[in-house]
Formats: sequence, C-alpha cells, structure tokens
Amino acid sequence: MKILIIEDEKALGQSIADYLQAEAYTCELVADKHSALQRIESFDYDCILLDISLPDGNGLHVLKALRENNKTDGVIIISARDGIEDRIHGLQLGADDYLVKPFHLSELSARIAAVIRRRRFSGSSILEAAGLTIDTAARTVRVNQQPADLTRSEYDLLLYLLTNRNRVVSKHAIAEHLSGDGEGLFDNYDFIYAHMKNLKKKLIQAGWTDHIKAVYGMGYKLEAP
Amino acid sequence: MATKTQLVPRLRVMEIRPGGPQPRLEDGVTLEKAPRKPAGDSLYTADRYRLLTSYLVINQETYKLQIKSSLQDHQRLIGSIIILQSVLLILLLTGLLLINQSLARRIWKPFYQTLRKLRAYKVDDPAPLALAPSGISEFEELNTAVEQLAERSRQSYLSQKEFAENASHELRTPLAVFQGKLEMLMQTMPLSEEQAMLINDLADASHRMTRLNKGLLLLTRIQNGQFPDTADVSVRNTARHLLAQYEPQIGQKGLSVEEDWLDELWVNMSPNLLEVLLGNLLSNAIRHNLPGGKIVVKGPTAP
Repeated sequence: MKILIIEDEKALGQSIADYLQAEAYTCELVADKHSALQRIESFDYDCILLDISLPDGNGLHVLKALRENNKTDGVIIISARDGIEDRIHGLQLGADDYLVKPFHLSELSARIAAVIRRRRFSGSSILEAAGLTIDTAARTVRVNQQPADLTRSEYDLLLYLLTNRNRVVSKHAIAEHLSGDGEGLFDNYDFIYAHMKNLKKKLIQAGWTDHIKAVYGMGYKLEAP
Repeated sequence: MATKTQLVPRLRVMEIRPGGPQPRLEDGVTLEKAPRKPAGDSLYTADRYRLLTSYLVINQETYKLQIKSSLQDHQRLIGSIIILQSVLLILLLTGLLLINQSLARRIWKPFYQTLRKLRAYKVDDPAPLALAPSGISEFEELNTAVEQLAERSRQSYLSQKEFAENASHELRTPLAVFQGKLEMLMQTMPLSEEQAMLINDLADASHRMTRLNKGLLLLTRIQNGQFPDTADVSVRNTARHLLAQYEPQIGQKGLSVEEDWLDELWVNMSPNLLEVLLGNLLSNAIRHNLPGGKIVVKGPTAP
C-alpha cells in the first residue's frame, strides 16, 4: 500500500514514515504544497496524510486538487488546528478523516487502515492474522471457526492491536482510542487492564493462543509471526 | 420713643389751669408738678417697661417728667428682627449652596463623564475607550492622557491574548514530534526494563503536556468568545450522556451513582462548553473518589 506523507516538520514526517514502514506500507514524504501537487498529479496513493499548514500555502488546496480530478485516494488531514469549523471544513472538502496533533502513531495507523478499508473495500474486509479472523463489516472475531463474543470495547481494542501488530502500543494510545475524547481526564489506566484481561479470557476460551504481551508497563504488543 | 432732648423742641407752652384737666402729652409721658428738684435723671428698668424720670424747671416751677416706654413692644420688635434676619440668612445660604452646587456640577460634568466611562471600561472590551471632547483644556488634557493609557493597556492585553493562543498552537508540532519519536523508541529492540521505565515516565510527561496544552487552548478560546454556538441545552441529558460515556471508569473504581433530578434544567450556552464543564466535574468526582465510593448527581431544587 502506498502512503503519501505531506508534512513540513521533517522530524515528524520521518517518524510517521518509519512507523508505517514497519506495517509494510510504502511511504513517500514531501514537505511543501508544490511538491505535493506534483506527486498527486503523477501518482496514485492508497492514503494521503495532509498537513494543512505548509510553508508555501494551505494544504487544503491539495485536497481540492485531488477531488477536482476525481481521484479516489484516501485523505487524512493531520493538523495542529482542532477547531470544529476546521474539522467540518476539511471533511466537507472531501477528507476522509481529521487527526489533531499531537497524535499517537498507532492511532494514525489505525485510521489509515480504516480509510483504506472504506475506500478500497467499501468498508468490508476480512483480516487474518495471528490466528484470528476478523470481519470488519460484521465486527465479528473468530478463532479458526470458533466465534468469540466480544463487547464493543474489546473488539475495538483487539482491532487496534491487530492493526498495529508487532509494535508496542502505548497505554495512553489505547486509552485514547477506546474512550474517544474522555480519555485525557483520567490518569489511571486500570480499566485498560480490565478490558485486556476479559479480551484474553474470551479469546483463549475460543481456542486462541495468547499472543498479546504486556511490555514493561509501557503498553501492549500483539505478536503475529 | 422720644428722648428728653428730642422732647424739648416739641414742648409746647401750655397753660396749666388749676383745677383743670391734666394736659395729656403723649402716651406714656406724664408731666406733673414736683415739690422740688432732686438730683438728676433716673432711669428705671422693669420687666415690661422702662421709666425715665426727669425734672424740668419751667418758669421757676419744678415739674416731674416721666416717660414710660413699654419693653414688650421692644422685645417683640427685636424678636421679629432676629427672625427676619435668620430667615434671610438661611435663604441666602441655601441659595448660595444651590447655585454653587449647580455651577460645580456643570463645570465638573466632563470630569464625571470621564470618571463614569473609566469605571465601566474593561480592557477586554472590543471597543476602545472614547471620551467626549470638552471645551475645558484641563479636561481635554486629562481625557487624552487617559485614552492613551487605556489604548496602551488594551494593546498589551490583546498581544498577550494572541501570544497565549499562538504559544499553545505552536507547541503542538514539537509535542507531536516528541510523542512520535517516543513511540518509535518504544519499538526499539532490545529494550531493557530500565529503558522501558524511563520511556514510560517520558510518555506520562508527554501526555500531561499534551493535556495541559489542550487546556490552555480551551481557555484562550473561551476568553476570545469563540464559543458563539449557544443553544438551549438540557443539563440532565448532557450529564446522563457523560455518565454513560464514563461507565467503564466508574465501574472500574466500583463507584455507585445516585441521580437526583428534581427539575429539568435548561441553560442557554455552547453545548460543547457544557460538556467540557460537566466532564471536568464528573472526571474529578471519579478521580478523587474513594474506591467503592458514591457519586451524587443532583439537579436544582425547585424554588
């Protein structure tokens, strides 16, 4: 899968590229509007990460250019502005998602996967990894043929870990992913531990070998060889 | 009242016929024959009258002249004079005071106008301080100086406000870089437990910085009045929605929730802000509560 990263802050762009490359995405990195416009003219991407505040202009022009040419590349706006009007405007112009800096790379990765699923596979896709079969349209999880009955949070947690498999997902990222905006108000993450425990129990009951490892208190990692 | 000396020119020559009636002179003035001339004049002052006794020698005959003057009239007269004078004085003083006041009011009017405007002036008012022009040069000078001062403090306030907003905004990108690199650091292998603990602490600090920055931005937005989306919102519904959202955290700490809505409470404000407000209250109630404790959500009591 090809990702175009349009971000003028080089260090951040590089971090994103490095992280995504571990997920077998091919990443291209540009740092200004002009280069971005050139790239999208000549190439197609599965997903484009667009920073609005570019040194030579507003990144939204790139978005407009994309949609005017009827290109089906997915677009996720990454921006330091988090006003509601900015979000609405971006989405109205045709962006698929809007992520506010600073964000967790694991969250970005999950959103990219969701956008690609939506654009490529009309929202439905079967994920098979680490001994699990996940139907994202039906939101079901199976271990071989055995279904596991997961709550919404447990499903979201599993999908999140699976999308970011073989990488450490920080507990902050998990908390934010699971509780949307309300996360930041809490500083103890015991509820994540509880969810994790229940999730593992149900999966193991369905016959799964537990591949989720806790990493020194930083977070969790789903190992999928 | 006539004095003896004044009476003298008015004395007429009268004849006193023996056996005839006593000639009447004036009221209170009597003239009668006296046996001989004693020492001199005497003045007798009684409570109600004054009696002047004098002796005249007319045609080698000694006469006693007595002039009686009623003090009552005298006193009444003095009284009236005093009263009249006091009344006049009071009227004069009052008039003077009133004139003085109205003159002062008129003269100081521009000053009081300026004072009123100063009291009402707020630095965060979008309209700059505008003082009415005055013909009096001292007040003109005062007004100009005050206007300049107000404008300076307003500019300073505006640039500080902008600064806070800009600072918060600018912080986001370095925070994003920091968080990103930290997340990459988490992936490095091999990772010792010691390194993981350090990374953990860094992640917590980074998280707090992000939250602080968000809070700062929210405050500047509230200050700038950037929540104009006021609408009628139900406090109860918002509270219930939040309680449902925080159910995992509430359950995890074993808290029980008691709701007590006596009355539906509707407010007209930005729904986003209301959610932030109630969210903060609720999250504090959860965070600082004892395990197994209780949260009581109470609506307003009926008036």
